[in-house]
Amino acid sequence: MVMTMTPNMDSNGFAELRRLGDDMPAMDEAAKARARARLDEEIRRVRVRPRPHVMWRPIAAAAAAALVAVASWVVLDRSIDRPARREPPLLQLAAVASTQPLPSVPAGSFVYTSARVSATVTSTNIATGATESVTVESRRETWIAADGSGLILERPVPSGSRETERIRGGPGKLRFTDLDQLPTEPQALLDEIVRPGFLDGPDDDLEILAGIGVLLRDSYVDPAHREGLFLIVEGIHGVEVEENHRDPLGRLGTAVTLRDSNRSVMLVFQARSSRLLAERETRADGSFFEATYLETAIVRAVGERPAETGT
Amino acid sequence: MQGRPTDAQVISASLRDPDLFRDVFERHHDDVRRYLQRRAGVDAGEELAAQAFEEAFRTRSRFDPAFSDARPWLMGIATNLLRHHYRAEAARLRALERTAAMASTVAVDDPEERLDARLAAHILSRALQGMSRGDRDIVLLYAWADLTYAEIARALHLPIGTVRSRLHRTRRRLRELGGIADAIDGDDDDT
Repeated sequence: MVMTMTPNMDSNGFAELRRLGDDMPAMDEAAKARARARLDEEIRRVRVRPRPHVMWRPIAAAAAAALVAVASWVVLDRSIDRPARREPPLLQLAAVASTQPLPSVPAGSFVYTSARVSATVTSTNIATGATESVTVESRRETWIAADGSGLILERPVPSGSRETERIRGGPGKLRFTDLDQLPTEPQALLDEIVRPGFLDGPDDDLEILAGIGVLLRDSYVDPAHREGLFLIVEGIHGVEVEENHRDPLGRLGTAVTLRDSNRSVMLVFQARSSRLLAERETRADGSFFEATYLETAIVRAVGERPAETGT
Repeated sequence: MQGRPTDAQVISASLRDPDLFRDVFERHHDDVRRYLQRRAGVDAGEELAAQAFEEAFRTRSRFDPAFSDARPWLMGIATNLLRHHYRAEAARLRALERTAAMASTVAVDDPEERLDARLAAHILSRALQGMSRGDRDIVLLYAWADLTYAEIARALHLPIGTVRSRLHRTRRRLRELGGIADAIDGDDDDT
């Protein structure tokens, strides 16, 4: 006897599961024809592959070695028949991420990140009521320990143009997102990320992408979780991917962009390391926030920089 | 009298004559598409079904001819493709949860039964969202692709005991939610 919430569920619960989502439209013959055509194209590629000719005996022996070489080449390089298939860029990034060295943040150490930040700031003249938008630049450095303590230091560029901001964090104050306890399987990981209280509970794809950018820019996300995060991005509907995109410093990377009617979020990753190079959010009114990441390292104390620690 | 060739015979023959593989497409495309659309939504499912048959054709030499039916192999390929479409499936499950609440998908005449069915559907769609991907693959290959335990094991390259124990665990979890009934138990010997 099973526990039931409703009278029918113990008798037909599995039937309910079979019925769940069984609302698909009737077979779309046009779609089926397109799928058939794609298969036909695959078949055609194979069919046109040159078949080996029967070699007449006198030259067979002499050709054998050459055939072995050619056959090896065919196996190694499928482009002899068709363009080589490449994994989509995001899957390549996921694969790269999964093989990166595992960083560790020893107790008492800090994750140091430095970035060049540009953003639109809108100010209102109290006397006239007129608003003015200007782009301000700054250099942001963060030191964050696993317990959330550390420092965010934002210095204006050029120096002295504004006040330097300092946000000091005691334990639990700054965000140190530890994924260690979360699953690495992308769907399960996504379920955790969208949970209220984590990354402020992003509830749309743009926020999820931006939140994943926050996680991926930090070196303390281990390879398995980084891979999972890239696979989540790969599954976001509407993501645009541009290879060989140049970030504001001219570094080549893979740009991942998602837009809606109000704004767009772009993340740029270095293809060979999966490292986040830059991020940019642009709003429909033209205002933007852009961060270009310069350096990430583990340091021993707030205020230390990698050159000083030799890391 | 000679019957229709099995899938295994067709696939084996297609290694020499690739055109024959079209027959595999005609036999199974609708089932694969339907399964994928239920999991990933109409558009993504349609695209994935096309990809599944391209992939199946390219890897047909790996099909084990000891098994006559190609459906488990095809559903395994389809399920693997779904691994790269987490967002589509998550959106689909959330949509199912919403539509279950609105009862538009529950075809039961009696109003009281319909209410129960709606509640069950709502609970089930939430439960599916909370499952690990591996468990969800197994239960949906069972419920939506109509594969047996042995076929699921073949599709996912798992020992049949693993399939059995994970379905059992899933059933128990769903029971706790007031969901799935003894139907899975009833298939415990379905090897």
